[in-house]
Amino acid sequence: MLQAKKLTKRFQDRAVVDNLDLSVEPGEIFALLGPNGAGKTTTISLFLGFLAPDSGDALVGGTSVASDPVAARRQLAYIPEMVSLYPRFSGVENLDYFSRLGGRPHTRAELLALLERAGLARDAAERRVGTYSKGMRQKVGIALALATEAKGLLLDEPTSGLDPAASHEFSRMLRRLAKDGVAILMATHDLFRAREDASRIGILLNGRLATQLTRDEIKNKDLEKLYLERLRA
Amino acid sequence: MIFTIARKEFVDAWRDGRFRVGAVLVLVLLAVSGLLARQQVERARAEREAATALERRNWLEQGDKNSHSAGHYGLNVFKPTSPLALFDRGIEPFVGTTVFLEAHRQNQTAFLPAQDATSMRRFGELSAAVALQMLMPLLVVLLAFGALAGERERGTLRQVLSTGLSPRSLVFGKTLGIALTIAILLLPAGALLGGLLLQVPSADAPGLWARAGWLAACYATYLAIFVAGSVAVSASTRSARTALTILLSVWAVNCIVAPRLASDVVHHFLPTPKLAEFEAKLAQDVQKGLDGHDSRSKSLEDFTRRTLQEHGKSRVEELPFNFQGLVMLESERLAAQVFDHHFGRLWDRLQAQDGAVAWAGLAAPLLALRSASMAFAGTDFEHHRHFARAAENHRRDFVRVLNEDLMNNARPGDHNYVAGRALWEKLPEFRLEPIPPAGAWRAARTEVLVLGAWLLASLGFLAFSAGRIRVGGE
Amino acid sequence: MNTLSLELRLFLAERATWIVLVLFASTLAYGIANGARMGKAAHESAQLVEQDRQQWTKQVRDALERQAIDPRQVAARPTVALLPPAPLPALAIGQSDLLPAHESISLWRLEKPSEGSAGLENPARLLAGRFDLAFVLVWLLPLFLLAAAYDLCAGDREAGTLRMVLAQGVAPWRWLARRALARAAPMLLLAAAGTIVAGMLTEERAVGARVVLALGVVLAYGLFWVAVCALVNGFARSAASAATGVGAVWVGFVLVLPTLLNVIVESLHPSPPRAELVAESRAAAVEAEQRGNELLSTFYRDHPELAPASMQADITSRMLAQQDEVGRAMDPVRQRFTEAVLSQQRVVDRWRFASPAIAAHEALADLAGTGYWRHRAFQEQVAAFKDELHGYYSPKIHKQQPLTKADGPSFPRFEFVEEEPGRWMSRVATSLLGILALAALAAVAAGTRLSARKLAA
Repeated sequence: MLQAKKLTKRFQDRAVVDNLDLSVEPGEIFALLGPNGAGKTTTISLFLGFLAPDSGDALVGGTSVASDPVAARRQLAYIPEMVSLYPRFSGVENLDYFSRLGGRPHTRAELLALLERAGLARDAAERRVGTYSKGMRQKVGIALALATEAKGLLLDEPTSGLDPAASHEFSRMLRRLAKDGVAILMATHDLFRAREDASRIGILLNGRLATQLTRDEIKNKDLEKLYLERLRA
Repeated sequence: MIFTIARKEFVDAWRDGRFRVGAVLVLVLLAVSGLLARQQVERARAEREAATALERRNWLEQGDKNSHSAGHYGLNVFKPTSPLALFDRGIEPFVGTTVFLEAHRQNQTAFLPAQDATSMRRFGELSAAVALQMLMPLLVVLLAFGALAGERERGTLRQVLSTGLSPRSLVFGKTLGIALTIAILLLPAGALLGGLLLQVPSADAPGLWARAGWLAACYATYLAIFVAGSVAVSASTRSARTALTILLSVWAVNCIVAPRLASDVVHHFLPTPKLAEFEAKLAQDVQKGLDGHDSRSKSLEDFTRRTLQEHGKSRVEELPFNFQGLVMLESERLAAQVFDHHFGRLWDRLQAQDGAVAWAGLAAPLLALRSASMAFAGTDFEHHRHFARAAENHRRDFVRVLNEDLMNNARPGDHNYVAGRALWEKLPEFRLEPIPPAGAWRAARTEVLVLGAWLLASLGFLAFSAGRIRVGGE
Repeated sequence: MNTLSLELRLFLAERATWIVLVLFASTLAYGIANGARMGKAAHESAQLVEQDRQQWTKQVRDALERQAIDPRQVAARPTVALLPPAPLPALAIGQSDLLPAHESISLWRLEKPSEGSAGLENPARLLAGRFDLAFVLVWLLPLFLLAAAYDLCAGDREAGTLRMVLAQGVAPWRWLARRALARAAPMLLLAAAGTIVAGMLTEERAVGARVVLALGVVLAYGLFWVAVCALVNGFARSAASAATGVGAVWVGFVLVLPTLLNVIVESLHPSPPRAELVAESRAAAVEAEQRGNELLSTFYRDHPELAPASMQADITSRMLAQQDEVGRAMDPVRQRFTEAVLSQQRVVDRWRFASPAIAAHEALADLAGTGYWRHRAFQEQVAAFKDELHGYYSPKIHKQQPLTKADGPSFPRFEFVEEEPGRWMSRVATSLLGILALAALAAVAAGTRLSARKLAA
């Protein structure tokens, strides 16, 4: 569903993403690990078409992002580190607006149901977003992924700043989405969560995938030791 | 899609406390200025009617006298106020309201209301026109400066674009939303002003509404220029703060600096003649004509000789009419040519200055709008010139009637001829035909063109910046 | 003082600052040049008028050397009353583009209300106003000050760095005051320099007091806007908010309040009805003319000392008598008219403290000598002179007394008497104090808002 083929992006002579080959199939949760500056956020921006690659290609559902970014985005949902919403509108109103823009209008009842599925209670959903915590904003993001029936989901540091309970809830939602066949690419520092939820892990170093592990391999390795080892190398 | 965005913008605007406060304030100011202006127009009309009636009575009751003396007694006419002055008072405070019509002289309009007013008057008056010209653009800037730049800073731009919305749709949707917000805000104001206009008696009601329609179109164009331009700036700048700085600077140059600066530059290149010189040249040229009162002038001798020849008589007393009357008629005819020449040139110069300022609107749209606004409201120099011309024609008519009366009814050589009320009543009352809307349109052609050009430019800028929108935040 | 100079250096290090300063200096220079040019033109035309007058006086005196003259001949030529050129024209053009600086007074037209306009000025130009130093100081100086100083701490608050600064233990009020003054100082210095330059561009000698007071007004006015910046920053949570806030205050005080006040004043104290004055005076003239000869004999009965030796009714005598009658009839109308004008100005005087912009503008025009009060004084003195003229010539004409050489020195001449310095000084000083009071109010309000606790919230 999500494919990067020799994807390269340079900023001032430095290759932030260097010949990256990556693929995420429907139902897979791919955790992209790496230190700051490794290129995780850049990779996500490349998939969203917010940056144009210098060479190589990013594909979403077979569509080249570079040639038709709007069509590519239509198939994606995006939850950044801080989900930005319109403070003077309520959760439901925000969801309504974004889902319409995504081409999938819903009735108010449907929207409330979606928010509930994402874990946001009705009374919270009708409050103005200006008062929301990070976890609540994320739930709106997830509801949006559900509302637009996105085939691919891009996440950037989803669990940073969440307390353990919210983090746990988030994992649950993620696994449900994967079960529904969504291809999920998650850029994160959270080794614990990556180990819990990912079906595959990739360690991104200097724009390249230094290591790729499958679920079974993850279970057998001490992820932290491996990660730090790779960094030192 | 665009409509979804527009609707959201509209709701967002009204939920913004700052905008609500600003909008309410502007509406209140529009209402207050409209109501007070109507009161002023009413009072001016009542005053003028009373004064005109009194002058008419003065004229009729001036008693029996030589008909030429009545020409020297003269008549005052007062300039009517355009009903749309309740919207835009234009140059009314700075032009004379009274013209003294007398024989042998074309006088300037006198008694500028501003001269009787306080020095604070120079700050200007808050009219509905001023509120729309200066304050509404500020509201537009308030709504629009963060339209794209603010969203970029807050991260919602990414979020919105990540749904697969095309950037162009976003930009146009926002523009439409802001435009709708402003339009709906102005509806009650428009209704109030329309209601006030209905209450003011007018000599040409359908023409009045045509003019009001033109005014609405011009102001809508002006505000649309600001909406499109502000959103375009917001789409092009790095931060909302930069966008705001740029927009406020543009506003200040357009609304505060441009009127005075343009006026200065135009008058440097197209100066107005000095009063002393004008009067001196005028007097000089009139003298070259025929002075009916100066029995020693050579031109009078020539004219006398010619007339005697024409009628085959040897003495003026033998002529079949009163020669003095004929002399006066001829004198007025020659003087009229001189007046037309000099006043025509003066007024042409003043209108050339106004025209140049309208063209300067290419640098600052407010200049074009002000000019167009005054033209359609009937409070610009073209309309004043129309009044001055009509007054002058009235003067020539009544002086001619008096002189003809002297010529035909006074016995030749009779110096004691007097006329009475019967003659005075022959003079019709002064009536000013209002300029039809087509005339106002002709006067405002350049300005409307300039506004149109600005609209095209700002829409072009909007389309251009919509295509280059930066997502930012890397 | 160290931190003040640091703030100043930081401010001057930005390129944008220099652009703003250069722009401001250019507007100052342009405004001063405009005013100076008007002043020069006024001087030239005053000189012409004066020359003309001296020539005529000489002619009359020379003629009187040879023979006695009929007073009607001398009275036939209108006398010119001249308002001397303003002492500080480069400071403000004021009303001098609108109101005439000289008036032609003819004995035969004393009852005609003076109608002279200042010239053939384009009314749209009068409407737009002039780009003089007063315009730059009252409208533009605050804009430039606000551009420099609108973000004292609002941007820091937005970025989160304000808390870090406050955590260092700095007293916010002092810190912000230093910052505000550092940013305002270059602008205010330029404004002060401009005022002094304007003070030098004059033919007048004794303008020291005027320039000092003008400097006071400009600085007080500038301080007011600095205080407004501080006050707005006490509330604003972002730089954009601060900009909107100070912008709104400027629009309120400089644009809306004066213009709104104008329409309200016009409504409560309507402009004097000129048309009424004109029509009434003509009605009185008609009546007087109709009573004609009868009027004249009544007049001589009432003023036996003026009856001529030969008792022959003379056209000119009759005209004068009629004029007197008209004057008498018009007195109440004229009174109403003058009262209306005065009441309008009294309202302005009272309400000028509503906005520092009004107070500053009035004060600057007053100091320049182009303000309302000086022109008003001129009009009053012209009215008094008309009486003097009438009192001198009228008896001589009635009694048919010729003018002789002995009368030479006593011819009425119009000499404008300037207002006592004490009066305009106290007017300006009151305005200045008013502006300072408003500035102090804003500063105090700012002080209450700028506490660490409130800012960190």
